[in-house]
Amino acid sequence: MTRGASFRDPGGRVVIRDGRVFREVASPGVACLDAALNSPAVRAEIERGRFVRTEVIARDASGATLEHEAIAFPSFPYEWPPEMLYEAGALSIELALSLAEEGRGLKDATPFNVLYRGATPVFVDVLSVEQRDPSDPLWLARAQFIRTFVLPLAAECDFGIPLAQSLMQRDGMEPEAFYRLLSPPARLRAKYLPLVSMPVWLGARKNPDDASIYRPHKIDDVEKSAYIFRRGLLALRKALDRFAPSSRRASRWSEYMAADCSYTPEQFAEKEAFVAEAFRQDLGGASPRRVLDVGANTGHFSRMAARAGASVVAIDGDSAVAGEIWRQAAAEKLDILPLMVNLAQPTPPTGWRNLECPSFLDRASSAIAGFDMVLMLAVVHHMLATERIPLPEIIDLAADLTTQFALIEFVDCEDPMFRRLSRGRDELYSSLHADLFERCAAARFDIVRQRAITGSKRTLYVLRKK
Amino acid sequence: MPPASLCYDRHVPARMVFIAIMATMIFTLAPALRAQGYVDPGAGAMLWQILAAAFVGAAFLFRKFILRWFRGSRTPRAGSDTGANPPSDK
Repeated sequence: MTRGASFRDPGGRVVIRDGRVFREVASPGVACLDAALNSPAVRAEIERGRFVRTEVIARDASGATLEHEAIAFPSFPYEWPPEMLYEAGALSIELALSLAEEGRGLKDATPFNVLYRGATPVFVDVLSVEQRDPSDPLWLARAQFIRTFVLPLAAECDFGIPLAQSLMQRDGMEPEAFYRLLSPPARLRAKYLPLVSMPVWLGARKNPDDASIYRPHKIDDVEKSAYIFRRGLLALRKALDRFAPSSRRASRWSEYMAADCSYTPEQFAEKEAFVAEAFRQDLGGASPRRVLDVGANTGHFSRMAARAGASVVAIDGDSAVAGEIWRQAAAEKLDILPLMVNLAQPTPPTGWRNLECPSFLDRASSAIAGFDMVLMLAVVHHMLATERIPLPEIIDLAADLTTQFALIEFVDCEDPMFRRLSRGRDELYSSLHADLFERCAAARFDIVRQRAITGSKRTLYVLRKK
Repeated sequence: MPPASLCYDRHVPARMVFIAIMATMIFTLAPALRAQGYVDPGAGAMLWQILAAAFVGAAFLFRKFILRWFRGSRTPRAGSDTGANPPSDK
């Protein structure tokens, strides 16, 4: 099996060769391919950039070969903040509603059908589009939509269960698992009754050997069938909206820049000027095109990089700040992909043979991602003191993640924030001064430029990979 | 906020009927929850979709009936001047 490929659908499989994405469509998938290629709704979404651009390379009676646009950094739902899962769910329902108008539909409904190009969701599963039987008013994928979109959002919204936990299982969260979280009075609440409690109660009564409920339930009146189908989709949209993440979500990190800032306004302006210079001026060629911002926090420097023309992947372990970065990037149409990733414990590979969804580091160091600059601003001391990662290891990883430059802010062990993080274990970090950093960095990088922030124990470095 | 095109009709009587049906089902089904060897996890959601579809189908027929009744009550009486057939000059 090819790394990072899709193989579950008997209608076709995706293979990635030299950074190009191909889909080989077998005979069972040809009808779905035609449904997608002939759909005005799909064409409209391609125009809006929300459906993957596709070209038919070869076609015969037995199948076809397609080439899809390559999404520069594939991300998976368990790395998204809830805002991005909500947006992917809204896209799936809107697409299903538009397709329903033309007698088509989606045969499955999972966030794994969606990738993000920057802050924009892109529906990538072309073979999910199918011609519907107009006399069938039911959507077989409805339960999957609830398991993979609605219940994980509800679990995050009402119980603080992170998506990384509920979506690590590919098929999401079963109503039975959610039911156990609810108190008896909560099981009767209007928002849970149709999504959780009724399915659990009805499921417990059903004979598990009886598969008749999954057969098409055709009705003669096509107008009535279409009405029921559409109302079902609208009800799902309403359920999704009920658990839409609030824009007022906060965490201890979301106010970090405003309330817990380690800089005076002048020091921050100095830091901003240094970073802006690194984005703007040539560092032996052109300004960076692809940037990985590690520990992005509110995304201030990610936005600076995106405004300077870079395509940015901004990672942070905190759901609230990643969600806020996405909101701002989507509002300003900036090319920023925010992900909930802690670089000290990056996303592992998942799926069949651990090859289906590659690890974060695999994707970050792949040819497609090809980051030409890694930002590590005010994050190295967190990795040193909180995660206990040795300094040479951090520098080594920075060098592995970039093809050219690293922009690193080194925080001395005498900095007040470092002392707060070290929690009384000062003797462990007593040697962590700028000169040690420079000696360690010399193993993998040349120092291009450096600047000590006036009146602080912090130094900024632009490093070029050796 | 959902876009305006996705807003719902407000049918108060339909909602009351829905609540009454839900209450009956809760009292009927809730005590039946028991441990089983294997419970098909998708079955309950599918059964619920079938029941909801039946309810929406009934609402569709009810709405159709009401619309037809209203249109019927507005049907002009024979001989009245509706403008549909302009008077002849003859």
